[in-house]
Amino acid sequence: MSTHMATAPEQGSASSGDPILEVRELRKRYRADGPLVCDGLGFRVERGEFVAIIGPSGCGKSTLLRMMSGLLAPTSGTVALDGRTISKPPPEMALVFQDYTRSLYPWLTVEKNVRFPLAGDKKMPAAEKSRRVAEALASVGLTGFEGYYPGALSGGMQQRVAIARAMAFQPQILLLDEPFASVDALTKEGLEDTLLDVRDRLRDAGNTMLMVTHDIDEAIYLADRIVILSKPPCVVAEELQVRLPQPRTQVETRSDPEFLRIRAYIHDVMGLTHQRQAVPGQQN
Amino acid sequence: MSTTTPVREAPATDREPAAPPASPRRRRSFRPQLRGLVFAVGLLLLLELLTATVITSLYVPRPSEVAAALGQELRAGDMLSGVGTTMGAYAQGLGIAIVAGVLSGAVLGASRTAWQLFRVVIEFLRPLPSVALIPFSILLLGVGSTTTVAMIVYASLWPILFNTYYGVRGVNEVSIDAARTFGLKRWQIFLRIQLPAAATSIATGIRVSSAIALILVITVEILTRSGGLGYYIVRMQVAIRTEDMYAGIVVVGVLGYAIAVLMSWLERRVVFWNADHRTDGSR
Ligand SMILES: Nc1ncnc2c1ncn2[C@@H]1O[C@H](COP(=O)(O)OP(=O)(O)OP(=O)(O)O)[C@@H](O)[C@H]1O
Ligand SMILES: [Mg+2]
Repeated sequence: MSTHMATAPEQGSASSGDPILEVRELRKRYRADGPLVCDGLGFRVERGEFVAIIGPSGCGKSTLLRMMSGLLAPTSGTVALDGRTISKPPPEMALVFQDYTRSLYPWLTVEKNVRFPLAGDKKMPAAEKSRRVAEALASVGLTGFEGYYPGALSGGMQQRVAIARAMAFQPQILLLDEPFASVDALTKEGLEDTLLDVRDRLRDAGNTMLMVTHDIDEAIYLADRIVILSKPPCVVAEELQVRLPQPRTQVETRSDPEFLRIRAYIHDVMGLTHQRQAVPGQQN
Repeated sequence: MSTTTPVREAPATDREPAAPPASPRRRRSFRPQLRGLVFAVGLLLLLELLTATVITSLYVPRPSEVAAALGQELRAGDMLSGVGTTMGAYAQGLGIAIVAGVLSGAVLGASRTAWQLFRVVIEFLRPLPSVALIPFSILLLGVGSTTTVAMIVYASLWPILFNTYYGVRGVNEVSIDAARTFGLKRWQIFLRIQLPAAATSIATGIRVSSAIALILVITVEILTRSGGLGYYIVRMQVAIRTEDMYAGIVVVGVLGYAIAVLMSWLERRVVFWNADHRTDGSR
């Protein structure tokens, strides 16, 4: 256990009475006789908020997102969107899957993959669809790769196609499951800013983002609030408000004293939630 | 050294960004498998040598004699009409098997109830050797192309049906989940995700069946003496025209080879995204 504790940043959950998403007492067992993956998770997401979720590997983050997007039924507890409990994937949400390779359709070109969520929309004019697709591809830096098939792209490029597909859909709520895991550091910074731009531009329309990441710095840089999950079976270990000035910029925000303070604090908390054991014979 | 190493100029910044290559579809150039070809020719020469010296049986003609017979038969047109009959039945049988196999496999894959209902019947019928059904088929359909086609359909249906079924069933959950988040209905997911995703598996089934169908058409023709290349081979055997018989067999081999090449070419074109459809050792 750590002996020093960074001064705690402001803690607490969303305060306003108008959460767009509310997770209540969520429990999940994949099999009746299996272990609990989530054990009474609860938190709220405000309209227009950017929430980052961090937690140790295997703690149930992907499980949580699959329940929040209506793909997986919780064993008990509810997920409410605008006060209504969801039971199937709601049209105002999109999810960027952690397993991006398998979420893309290998028989469709990049262009057709990104257009896929719009294809069924009879009311939207084709020109508008094309515009959205082009815009989404441009925002992830894949202009020029429209005619490629996913199999001919690198992992990081496939991941960007998956992000572009979700963005072309223009969901009110975007759920992202470790969306930049396979992307190099530089591209990643660009994509982080792209997400922030999208959110800022559509914030008044209630554009909300919820992102699972294993990168603590990324969580602080992007989020208005960070939800830290415990080791499995997961509960919310802590919620932190991130009071960093907007708009955020890679160099300034990341060297802000507040950024460093939150960072040190989270490292402490995560260390605690990991239950690190002192090596026998070594004194702290 | 007094001179400094020249510093390389930074590339001009107003350069066009590297354009992505224009053709995303990889096309493999045709490479004749020279080594294999040379070896095959070597084998033929060895056989020629052996049949000219050691083996002097009437029933083992020399490759050159077979080649001559083949040339003559092809010119005479007798064999060619046999090839026409055989390939006609082959195409009909395989075509029907593809349509029926894909449709029934898709239905079984889409509906759990259908699968539970038909499973036992299918598991009983499948291992029945189609050759065992020939007498029955002759009683029902008579000797002729109908029986031949029916037997081809029966034998080549199963690989297509099962590959379609398992292909539809085995589609990865994530791609289905993605479609669900975009609001697709169950039948839309079936048509737009499960069927295309099963295409690689279906293609494998069709490739397997394309070989089975050839075996069947020749076997049935030989057994029922109903015309075609199989009947030609028996006729030549009975007439002890061994060179001509072997010529017929060579033609069957060539047909089989051509079908295999065509199928894997088609497979590469149609289900091009499947990286491992060539891992079965063919080409
Ligand atoms: N389909 C499933 N069936 C059974 N158990 C599952 C299934 N999916 C996940 N689990 C289990 O649930 C637990 C949490 O998995 P989950 O994928 O949600 O973790 P995660 O936090 O997303 O991990 P990571 O950070 O590595 O992505 C794991 O113990 C895993 O074995
Ligand atoms: Mg995960």
